[in-house]
Amino acid sequence: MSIGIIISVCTGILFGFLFFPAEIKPLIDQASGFALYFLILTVGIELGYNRSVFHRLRVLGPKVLLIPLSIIFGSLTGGLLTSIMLNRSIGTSLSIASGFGWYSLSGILLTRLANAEIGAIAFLSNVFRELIAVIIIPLLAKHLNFLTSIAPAGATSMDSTLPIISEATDSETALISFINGFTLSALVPFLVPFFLNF
Amino acid sequence: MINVLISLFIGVFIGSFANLNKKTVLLNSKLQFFGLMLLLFFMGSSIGMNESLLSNLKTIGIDSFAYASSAAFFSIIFVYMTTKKFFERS
Repeated sequence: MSIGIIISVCTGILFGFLFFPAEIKPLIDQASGFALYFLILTVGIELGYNRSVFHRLRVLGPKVLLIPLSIIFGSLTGGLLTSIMLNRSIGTSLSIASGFGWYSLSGILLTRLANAEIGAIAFLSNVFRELIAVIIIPLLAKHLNFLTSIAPAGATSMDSTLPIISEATDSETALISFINGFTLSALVPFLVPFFLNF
Repeated sequence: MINVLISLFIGVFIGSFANLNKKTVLLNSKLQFFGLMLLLFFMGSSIGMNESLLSNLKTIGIDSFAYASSAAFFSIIFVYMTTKKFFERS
């Protein structure tokens, strides 16, 4: 599966760079929007078919929120260490790290709140985070455990990387992945500005 | 975000009430795989078409990659420890 993912992304980048004219960008965005909704629909069908997952989730209860909490602490630890490594301000670094992969929002937020360079780093680093997630999710699911495969995805685990998690794991993990992405996405608009003034 | 929620709910509704057989569910997961490859292709092409992103890559690429990989790495470590401690089952 990982090979298929890498080939698809790389062919996409190559086609986008070499063949697609800039005018069709809105069309591509629209097409990827439809592809995403279609995929989420198929994930939903699987969830509805395996109804028992909702029961399992009730058994797990609020414990499920330990996953987004761990991702928050993990991302911030990463941001902190990178700030020391690159000699950048701690607040800015934590702010970039709390984009959790949601590049469009964290990029826009930090361009406005900080400056264009920080905004661009936030955007690009969260694009990279999504790409890393796309590539390693199947490997984590196979070699560590299903829930850990949600970790690199961060906020994207409710949309763009949800289909990959769903393919690589089971319905229960897909449902937890959605809850995780939803929780983290809801926190991004608060955490990014919060850490910037740290 | 709202569209994602709506798509998911419609899917759950179909999956719960449409009385699907194993064959349809298998077809569903095959469609999921092909749809996924298509989505990733589109995702890649919008990166390839983003000129400002590509031109910025040289100046801020390494810093950005450092942030991305460290945040992803420690998230993996923390979630793995959490699952070992709180989610271990059968």
